[in-house]
Amino acid sequence: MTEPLVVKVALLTPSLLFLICLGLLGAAAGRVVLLLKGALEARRQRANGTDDSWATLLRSDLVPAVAVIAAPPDASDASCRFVRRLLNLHAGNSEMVLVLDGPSDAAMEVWKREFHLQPTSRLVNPRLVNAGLVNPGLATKPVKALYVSSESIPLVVVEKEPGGRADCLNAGVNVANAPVIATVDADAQFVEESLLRLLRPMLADPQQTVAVCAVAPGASEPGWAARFYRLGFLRTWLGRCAGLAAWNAFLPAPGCFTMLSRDAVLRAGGFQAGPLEMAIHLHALARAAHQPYRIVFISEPMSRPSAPRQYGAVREAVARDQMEVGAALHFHKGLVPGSGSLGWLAIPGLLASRLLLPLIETASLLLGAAAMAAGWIAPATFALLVAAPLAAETLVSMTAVLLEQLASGANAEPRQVATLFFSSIAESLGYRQWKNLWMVRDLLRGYRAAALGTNNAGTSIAGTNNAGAK
Amino acid sequence: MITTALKVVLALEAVWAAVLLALLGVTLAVLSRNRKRRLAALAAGSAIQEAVALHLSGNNDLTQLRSLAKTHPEAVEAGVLAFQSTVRGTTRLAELAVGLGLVERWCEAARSGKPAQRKRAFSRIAAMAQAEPVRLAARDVPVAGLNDSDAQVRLEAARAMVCSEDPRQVAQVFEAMLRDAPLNRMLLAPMLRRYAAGLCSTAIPKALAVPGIAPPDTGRLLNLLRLLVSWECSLPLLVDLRPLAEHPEPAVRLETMRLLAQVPTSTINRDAILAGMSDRDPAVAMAAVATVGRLKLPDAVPQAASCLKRGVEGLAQAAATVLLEMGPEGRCALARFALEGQVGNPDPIADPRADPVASMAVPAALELARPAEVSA
Repeated sequence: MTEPLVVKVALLTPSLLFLICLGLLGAAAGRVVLLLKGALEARRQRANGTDDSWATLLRSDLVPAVAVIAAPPDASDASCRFVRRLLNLHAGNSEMVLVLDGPSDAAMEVWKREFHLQPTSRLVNPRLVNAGLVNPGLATKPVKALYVSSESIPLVVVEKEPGGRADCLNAGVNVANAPVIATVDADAQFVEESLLRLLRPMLADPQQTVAVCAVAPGASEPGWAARFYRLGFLRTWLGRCAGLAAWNAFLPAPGCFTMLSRDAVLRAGGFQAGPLEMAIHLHALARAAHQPYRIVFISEPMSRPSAPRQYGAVREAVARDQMEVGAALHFHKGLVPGSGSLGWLAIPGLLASRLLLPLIETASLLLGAAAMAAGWIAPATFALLVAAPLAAETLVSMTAVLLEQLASGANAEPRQVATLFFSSIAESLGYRQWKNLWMVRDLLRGYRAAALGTNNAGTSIAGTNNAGAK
Repeated sequence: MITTALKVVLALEAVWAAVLLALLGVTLAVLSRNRKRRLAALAAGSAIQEAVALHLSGNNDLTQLRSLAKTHPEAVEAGVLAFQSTVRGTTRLAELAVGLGLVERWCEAARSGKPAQRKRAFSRIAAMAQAEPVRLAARDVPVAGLNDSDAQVRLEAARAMVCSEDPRQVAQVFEAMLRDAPLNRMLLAPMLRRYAAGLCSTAIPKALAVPGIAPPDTGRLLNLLRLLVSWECSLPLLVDLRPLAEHPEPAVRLETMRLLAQVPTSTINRDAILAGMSDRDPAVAMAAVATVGRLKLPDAVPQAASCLKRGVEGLAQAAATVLLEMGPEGRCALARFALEGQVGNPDPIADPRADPVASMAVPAALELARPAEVSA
C-alpha cells in the first residue's frame, strides 16, 4: 500500500518543485514591474522639484498646527536626543507630545530633569465630554499625569499605564491639540524641515489628503551587512512605497516620517499597531466609503532609516519591520483577497513578499534536497531548480540598484553603485536563505502578539528591539 | 522536459543579466560624467563668484562671465542668484542677468510645456523681480503664469508679481489667490501683508462687496476673511462689516468678529461687536469677547457680564478674563456675578483650574468687598 504512494510522491515531486520554481520566477517578474513603476513614480516626483518656500510657510498664521507624537521606551541618552531632535523640527505652530509608557520612577526623574517638567492639568473636563462638547478621544490605558516643560519649548509629556506603542500613539492623539499629527521612528535620520515639507501636500489638497509619508534610502555604509540591508531596503522603497504610491496604495516602510490628519485617525478608531497598520486602515476605510482620498508618498531624502552596520543590528531592524507587518496583517487579514489596488496588489503583495515567498523558498530548498537524497530527482535538475529562482532574485536586486539611480537623479558615487550591484550575488548565496528563516519567524511573532493583544511591534519608534523582549 | 524548461529559463536570465550589465556600464558612465560636471561646476564657482563681484564693484567687462556662461550656464545662473540674496534689488545685478541672457532664457522657459521648467523659470524671475531691468525684460510673462493649470507654477508666477511691487499686479495676485489652492494662499499671505494698507483701499473692499450667501461665494469670503485675520495687523479698512457680522454662516461671523479687532473702531463696527457677543453661536460670541478684550471697549461690560451667565464654560472664561482687564467697572461686574452665587465651589484647596471663572470672579468679589469692610 505504501509503496505505490512513495512511487506517486517520487513521480510528483519534480513536477511540484518545477511548479514552485515557476511561481518564484513569476513573483520575481512581478516585482521587477513594481520596482520599475516605483522608479518612474519617484523620478516623476523629482522632476516636479522642490522650492524654497519653507521659510514663508513657517511664518504663515494660516498653517495648521502639528503635534509630533513620540513614545520612547526608556530614558536613555539616545531617547533624550531623539526628543531634542523632534523639538528642533521647524514648524510655524507645532507641539511635541511625549508619551511615556509606564515609566519607572527613576526614568520619570530623568525625563523631569532633562526637560524641567512640571505637572499640569490639561486633562479634558469630564463635564464637557458628557455634554458632547468635546470628543472623548480614543480608549487608552489610564493617564497618570501630564507635564509641561518650564523651558520655552512646546512639550507636553503624558505619563500613562503601560499599554504598548499603539496605546501610546492613541494617548498622544487624545492629548494633541493640533488637527495634524506626525510620528517617526526614533532611529530615523530626518531633516529639520521635514514637517514643513510634509505639510505641503496636505495643505495643497486638505479635503482628500489623509496622510503624507516620506522616506528615502539611507546613505551607503561600508560592510556586507550594511550592503545587504540596503539592498533589502531598496526593494522595499521602490516596491512597497513608490511602486504602490503610483496606484494610491502606498504602505509605509521603516524610517518613514508619517503625518496624519487627526480626524482621520479618530475616524479609524486610533492606532492598533504602528503607522503601517494605520495606513492600511485609512486605505480600507476610504475605499469602503467610496470616497476620493490620497495617501501621499514623498520620495525626497528628508527621512531615512538607520543604516545598521552589524549583522545583529540588521537582524533587529528587519525583525521590527516584520513584526509590524505581522501585526498589520493580523488586523487587516479580511482585505485578502479584496478588490482594487489595495486588495489585489498591496496587501497580497505584502503577504507574499514577507511571508509566502520566504516560506516557499525555504520549503522548496528542503524538499529539493530531500528529493535529491531520495534519488527522485537528479542532482543536475536540483541544481537547476535552485539556481533559476535564486538567479532571478539576484537580478531583481541588481535591477533595484540601477533603478534607484534612475529614481534619485544619478548622483551617487560610481564605485558604491558597482559594489552594491555585485553585492546582490553575495546576498543570494547564504544570507538570503538564512534571512528567510527569521523573517517568517518574526512575522508570525508579530501576528501572534497582535492576536493576543500584546502587540508592541511598533517599539521601532524607539529604535530598540523591545518588542521581542515583551 | 523540466530540465529543458529550466535551461530555457536560465538562458533568459542570462540575457537579463547581460542587459543589466550593459545598463550598469551606462549608469556608471552617467554617474562619472555627472561627478565630473559637479566638480567642474564647483571649480568654476569661485571664478564665477569673483567675476560677478568684480562686475558689481564697477567692472563693465563681461567677457569672462560670458565665456563662463557658455561653458557652465547653470553655475553662472546659480552664482548670480546667490548674489541676489546679499545685494537684493540692485539694478546692476539685474542688468547683469539681462545682459547674460538669463532673463530671456527664463522667459522662454516660462512658456515651456513642462510644468517643472515653467515653475523653475518663474521662481528665477521672482527672485529678481524687484529690479526694474528684470521687470522690463519679463514684461507680462508672470501675469500669464497666474492662470497656469499647475498650482505650483501659479504660485511662482504670483510670487514674481508680488516681488515686482507694482500695486496693480499685487491686487491681481490678491484677487487670484482667493480662488486658489489653500497652500498657495498660505505661502503668499505673508508676502501680501506688506501691501495690506494699499489693498485696503482697492482690492479688499471690492472683494468684500462681491460675495453673496451662496456656498461657493461663502468659501471665497471665508478665504478672504481668514487671510485678513492672519495678517494680524491694523487695517485701514473703511467698509461696513455689519452684513458680514450678520451673515447666516457662523464661520463667516466668527472670522468677521476676529477681523473687527484689526479695523478702525467706528460706531458701526462697535455695534457689530456688541451684537456679536450675544450671537447664538458660542464660538462667535467668544471671538467677539476676545475682540472686546483687545479693543478695551468700556460699553461692552454689560454684554460681557451676560456672557458669564450663558452656561458655556469657554465663553464664561473668556468673558471673565476680559472683565478683569477692563478696569474697576469690569471687575465690579465680575464680583457681582460671584456674589450672586453663580460660580462653582471657590474652595482654594480645590484645583483653581477646575473652575477658571471662579478663580477670577472670587478674588474680584473679595476685592470689591474689602472697601465695604473698611468703611463698616
